[in-house]
Parts: sequence; structure tokens; C-alpha cells
Amino acid sequence: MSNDIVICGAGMHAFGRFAAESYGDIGRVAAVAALRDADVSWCDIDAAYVSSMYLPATSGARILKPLGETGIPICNVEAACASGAVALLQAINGIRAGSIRLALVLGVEKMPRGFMDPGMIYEPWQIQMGLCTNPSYWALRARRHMYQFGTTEEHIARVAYKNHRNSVRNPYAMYRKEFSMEEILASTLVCDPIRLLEICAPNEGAAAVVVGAADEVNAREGMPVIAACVHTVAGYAADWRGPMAGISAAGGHGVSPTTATSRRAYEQAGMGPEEIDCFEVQDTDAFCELEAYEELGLCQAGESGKLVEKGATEIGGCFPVNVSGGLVSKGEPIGASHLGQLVELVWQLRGEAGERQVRNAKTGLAHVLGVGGNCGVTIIKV
Amino acid sequence: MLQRSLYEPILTSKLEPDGAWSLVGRRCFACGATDVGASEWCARCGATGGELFALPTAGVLWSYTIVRHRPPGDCRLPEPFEGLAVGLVELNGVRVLAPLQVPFGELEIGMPLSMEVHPLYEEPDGTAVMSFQFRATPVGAVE
Repeated sequence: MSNDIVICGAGMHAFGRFAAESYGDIGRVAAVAALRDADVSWCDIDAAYVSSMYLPATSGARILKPLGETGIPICNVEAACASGAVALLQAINGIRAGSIRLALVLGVEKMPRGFMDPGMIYEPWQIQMGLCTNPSYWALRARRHMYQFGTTEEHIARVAYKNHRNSVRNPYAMYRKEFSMEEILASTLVCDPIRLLEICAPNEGAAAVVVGAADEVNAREGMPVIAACVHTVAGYAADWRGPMAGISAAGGHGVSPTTATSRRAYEQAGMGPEEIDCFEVQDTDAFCELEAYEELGLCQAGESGKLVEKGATEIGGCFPVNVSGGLVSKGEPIGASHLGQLVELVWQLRGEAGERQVRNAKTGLAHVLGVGGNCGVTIIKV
Repeated sequence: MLQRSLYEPILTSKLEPDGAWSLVGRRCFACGATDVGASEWCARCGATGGELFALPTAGVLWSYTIVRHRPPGDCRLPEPFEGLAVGLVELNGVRVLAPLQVPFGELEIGMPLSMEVHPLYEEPDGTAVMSFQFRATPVGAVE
């Protein structure tokens, strides 16, 4: 008998812009792909958890009921960029509690172009003062990192260069276009020092997994097991509370949400970063990925610039990060981003990632971080 | 001219004896933590009960960025938009996010800054809605 929860199937709708498809169409493509991959039918699913940030009320039921009105619970989940992790966590808890056997976890999004609607996450006074440009929160951290550790604009651009290049091999990414370092460093400044080609675009897409208890669902050889799934929101003085009015600097920094969340995830999984074969991490912008290297324990504080410079996070490096192209080149359909990371990792762990396959990948970590300091980390293994 | 704060829990004229504008600090009676903004509960320990105090107007730049495109939504900054410097300003133990009225080429981490208030916009009845920003402290200025 094992308490393991396995990912029986995974499926995706590409991330990008799809004017002719409704969010329902997009969501059903991913859901049906995951069900087929798991070799189960919609009627076998006991509960569905649907993550999104931009969709209307009961969108989960509206997406899934056309597959058959089976009367199961279908609920919507939202926790900013960590929405997908929270949806997965609901499924895990339901399975562990014994109330469900097989769950569908689906992330779906169809976001308008350009900057996100600030009214969703900022107070009116912050919007009136102009303190509501999302990349500015990362940019402040990037500038401080450069000052404190000597990180350079080239280090930041190197992340975007790597991710854009990786995405050429990913048919599910939005851009799939390689850019030179020169092109990246010459692209428009959005919030100094962050540039347009270093930033992710809100977009559309969906990703889904079917999960169940290993001894209940005829787990097959090679099905990835969920080793850890943790969600936290930044604590006091955690230094990442955007949108923020202020943070306390007294007594140094609190523990960042990525550090706090990944520590718990490593503990749950019984493994550390050195035992993870591939990482899919939040790269809202290229600096954000550098920060994740340090806070996930891939290197010491201040060393992330050097890590990317020496190629350690390339597909053939010791810590392959965002071989899918990351959000910088896939785009960020917020409710779907974490599940998109997981689907990529499932393919990697099953050896089905084609041209972008990380050799002999047995473990993977997915990380998201966003508004309010919402952070999610999921670790899977085979 | 009548004035009001854009957002009283952060910017107020009620803490200084002479009615001068200040940013709002809060010190928790239970754990001693300080934070920015009036709140019933302490951000660190959750206890109620704390004192509000005027944060110092002099601070030091901790980090900055320049927002190059007009911020989205109901932004009240003047047209044409020519970029907005935004910084985290360290004020005696807390950091406050604020617009910076500093020429972009002169922005430097560690530079001394002073808080000032200014009318962001006017309400239909003529009341000036006051906001805050930081400006470089002139060399040799005495606090």
C-alpha cells in the first residue's frame, strides 16, 4: 500500500493568442487531452478543480459540463500566479481524505492584451499615483541585486536569450523565436533595467492533469508521482509583497516566499535541489528567474548571474531551467501557468519531450510566484 | 484651498503637532514591529493595539526603477507622460514605495531623499487631493 498520488495523464492547449476560440474551447482541448492521455473517460472523474484568474464565475463548470453533466463537484480556484498549485493541492487533499478517487485539475486563461487590469490587484490610490506597473516590482529588486552583487544587464538578458532559444523547440510556446543578446539588450526598456524581450506577456492557454491515488488507479510503470505540493503567501517583511505600500526593513529581510515554499517542498519530497533534474520556474521577467535560482537553492545569494553565465541552467547544464522556454517565451496565462509547467515536467519525466528532452530526467520542480507573494512549488518524480 | 489626503492610512496631516503632512508609521504594542500605514492589526504578530507615528521625512534610496510607459488604469499623472521614477525609500527601519522627483540620470542607490506632498488632482468642488513623492535632499541641507 502506498500513499502516493500519481499523475495519470497530462494535456495542454498551446499558450498564445487564439481569437477564434473561447476559453471553454481552450480549456476543453487541454482537459480532453489529459483524459485521453490517462486513458480514462470524463465519466470516471470524481471531482474537478479549475484554476484561473481572469475568467467569470463558475467558468470551470461552464468549460467542463459540455463534456457530460455527470454531477461531480467542479470548483474554481484562484491564488494569482499560484492558482494552478492551489487547484492541484485541492485535488491532493481530496484524494488523501478518501472522498475522491480520480480528479481532473485544469488551468485555463484568456487574458486581454497588454498590461493587466490594475483594478484587479491594486488599490485606487496606488493606481492614481501610477504605482501599478507590474514589472516595476521586479525591476526594483533587479536594480538592488545589481547594486549589491554586481549582477549585470547581460546576466539578465542571458536568461531571456536562453528561454527564447529553448522555446523554438516547444510547439506549445507562443513566440518560438530566437533573439540575439544584442537584440534583447536593444529592446525597449519597460521598467529599468527590465526590457521588452525579457518580459512575459499575459496571454491564453490551458493545461490539465488527471491525478489519483496510486493504489486505486492501476498506476502504470513510469507514471510520475507527486512528491510535494506547497502553497504559501509571503509573510511579514518577506521583501516580496507586491503590490506594496511599504515593507519593514528592520532586522533585515524576512524569508522570501520562494525560499519558504521550496524549503517545505524539499522537506516533503525528501530531496534537495541537487537531486532535481529539471526545473520550470517563474520568469515573469528574466531577472525573476535569476532570483529563483538563489531562492530555490541552485546557488548562493548573489551568485545567480554567474550561474546563468556559465551555462549551468541550459538544457545540458547541471540545473536545466525552463527548457520549455519559460513564461518569457510561452507567455503567462496566469491560471494555466503552473499546470503548463507540470505538463512539461510530466513529458520530461516520461521521456516524451522530443527535441527538448533533458537526458534521463527522473525528478522535476515547478515554481510559480506572483501577486501578494503567492508562491507554489510542486515536485514530481518517477 | 481645501486639501485632503489621497489615502489617509498612508499619508496624513494628523500626526505632527503643527499639522504638517507625514507618512504613517505603526508600532505594535505587543511585538514592537514597525510597519507602514495605519492598520488595526500588526502585520507581524496579528495583535491589535499599536501607536501611529509620523515617519521621518528624510530617507535613503534603497532601489529604483523608471516606469517607461504610462501606467494602466485611472492614473492621474500629467500628460504627456515622460516616464516615472519609482523607488523604495528607507525611512528609519521601514521602506516605502514612492514616486521620485529626481532627474533619471541622477538616480543612485544610497542617495539622500526628502518627502514632499503635492496636489495630484483636484476634486470637482476644488479640494486638492494630496499625494507624496521624494526629491533629492540638497547637499548641506539641515534637517
